[in-house]
Amino acid sequence: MIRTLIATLAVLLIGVSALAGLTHGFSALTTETARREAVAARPIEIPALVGVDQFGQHQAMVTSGDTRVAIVDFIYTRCTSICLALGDSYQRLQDQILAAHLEQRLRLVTVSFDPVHDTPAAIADYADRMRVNPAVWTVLTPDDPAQLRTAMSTFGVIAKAADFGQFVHNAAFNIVDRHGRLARIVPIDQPRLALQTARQIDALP
Amino acid sequence: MSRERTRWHRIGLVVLIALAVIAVVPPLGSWLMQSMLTQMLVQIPLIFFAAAIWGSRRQPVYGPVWQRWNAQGVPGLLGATFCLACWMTPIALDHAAADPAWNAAKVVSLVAGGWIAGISWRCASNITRIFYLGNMVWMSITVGMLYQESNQRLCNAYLWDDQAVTGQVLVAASIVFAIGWLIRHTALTVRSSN
Repeated sequence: MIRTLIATLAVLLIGVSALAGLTHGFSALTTETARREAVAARPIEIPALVGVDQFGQHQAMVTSGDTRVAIVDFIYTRCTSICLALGDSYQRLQDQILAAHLEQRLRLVTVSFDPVHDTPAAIADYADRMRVNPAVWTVLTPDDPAQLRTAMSTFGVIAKAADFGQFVHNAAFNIVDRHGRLARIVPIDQPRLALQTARQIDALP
Repeated sequence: MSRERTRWHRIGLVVLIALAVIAVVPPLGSWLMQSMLTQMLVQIPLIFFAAAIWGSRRQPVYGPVWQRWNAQGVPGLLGATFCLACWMTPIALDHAAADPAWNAAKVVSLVAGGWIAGISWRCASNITRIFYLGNMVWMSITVGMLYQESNQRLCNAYLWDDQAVTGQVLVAASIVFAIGWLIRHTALTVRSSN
């Protein structure tokens, strides 16, 4: 009986540890949450990504000369759901950044993960629709699919083709610090927190 | 038990194990992994139950050492419960879908968990069995309801409507499984008392 009790306790200990390890100490039940926590604990270097911006000019997602903290998101312009909400949030963030005169400290970057449909013309049209102010907000469509794949895997962006030419994808406010590292991931329903976090990251050395 | 019945049981077990193997290796294995529904409700149960039935057919099932360390099969069934609980979390399903190493770990742990559950089931009294079965059914119904209720996509590898359907089928399958077990158990009890 005592041996069975010992065995039961041992199994309990192993089982609880396995579940705790899997869920990062019972705090992350999903991959999104786990990633958010891992990035906050240790920022990750992001790879180079070059694309065409809303003016048809080649531009890097993060340039070494630009010391502003960036809030980066990944979208496709034909999206009729989550990207629309994200676009709204970006518009509001743009207004808030300009109103607080933070355009020298913070910037917004929108990257398309669907360069096949998001041609430079489509990007320019999107920027027009969104009333993008180039002093704050850059919209990019990547040149190189291989570069895009690497960037998506670094940012943990997953897009799956769905019905009617749409994609099902995850989205977040990705805060990139001035050293070109992904420093925080903020859920898409918290734009206010995204701005606040970007300002905190900006205050760091 | 008649020799004829034993023979059919053995054939059934071989077929079940063959199905489980086919469900793991490509091309069917990779196809089942494309959807949350088929990973969670076809592949995982198939591996677990094939291993469990295989374990429960082992002769002799338990010796004195096994009896001392696994009386009533309590630690064994608890371990199997943890194993299944891990593979019900979205993060584990996501990892298994994205990373072959995680998927291999899934298969190995389910075979081990199922096999131990099978042996332990034979050692357990009816009260212990009902306790564990009740817990498992309750756990999977809860997980199924969470999957249905969630407004968020929980797995990056799977679509939102796939997740909702998985939740519905998980609840339905758990209830059918529990009722099926009760009917079979009652039938066996009545037969043995006759």
